[in-house]
Amino acid sequence: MSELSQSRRLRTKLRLAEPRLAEVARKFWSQPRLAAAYPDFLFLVHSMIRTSVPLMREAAEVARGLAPSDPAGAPLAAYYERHAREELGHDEWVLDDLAVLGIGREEVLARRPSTEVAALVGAHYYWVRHVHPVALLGYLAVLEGNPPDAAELDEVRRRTGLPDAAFRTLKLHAHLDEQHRDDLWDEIDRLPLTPATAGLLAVAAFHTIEQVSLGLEEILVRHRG
Amino acid sequence: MAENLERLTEAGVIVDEKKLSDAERKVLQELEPDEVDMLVRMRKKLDDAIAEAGGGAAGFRSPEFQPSPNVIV
Repeated sequence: MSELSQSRRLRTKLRLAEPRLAEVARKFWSQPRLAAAYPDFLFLVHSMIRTSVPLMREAAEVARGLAPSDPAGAPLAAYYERHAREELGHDEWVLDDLAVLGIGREEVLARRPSTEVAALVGAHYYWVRHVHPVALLGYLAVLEGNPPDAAELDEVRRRTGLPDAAFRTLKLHAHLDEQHRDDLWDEIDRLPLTPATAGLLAVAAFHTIEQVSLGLEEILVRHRG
Repeated sequence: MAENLERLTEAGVIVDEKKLSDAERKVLQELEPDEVDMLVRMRKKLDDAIAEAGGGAAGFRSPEFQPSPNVIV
């Protein structure tokens, strides 16, 4: 029996968890009030994306500190540093998308992010600082492992009647995340994972699926007719 | 642990164990208890959501239109 690669092992586990998020996403994107809910969705995205660079830089620093004794430390640090550079400014893109919808940056930045996002990102700060920085790869596996489809985004834009410019961030990531996804799987396959770190990676990914699902459900409830 | 497959099948996380490859079965047998617990909890939430929508307990159905669910980083 051939062994699966480390990324394939993770994806085997993720396939069992993803239906939870897929069902919530189906409800979200097919709701009758999607045009009204879309700004809240972008706010959810911004709440998460504003933490990407700080969280990855934190994870890189912790990983560097592990490097003398942990063979995963140096490659993780290098990956997080590189990917943090790739993600610079993406929070500003979302602010620009919201501005197209008439929601200014001051309003966005003054609004309190949801407890679902706090529980999602906060958990990863906890795991990065107090367990192992490999956990953040589980977060990224969910958020970048299945990029948006550009044709589907066009369909959403058409159905909502919202300006094309309000979908710029999502459309850019439909393109960028294909490479980010491939880079992530390659990184996971190169890492010297132990059973403990492989398990943490999966738990972090499952938690990400659950918290993103809860975030979308919260928006659905708010816009329920 | 062999009981992982039983637990996951009983909870509806695994729909048809026969469709798993030997390699996939090994991955799932080696899941730790907290991984199994999380999968079972998420499956229950999925089943509750489907029931609330009137979809019954048949499990996840592919909708006619389903954008990729991912929120992006």
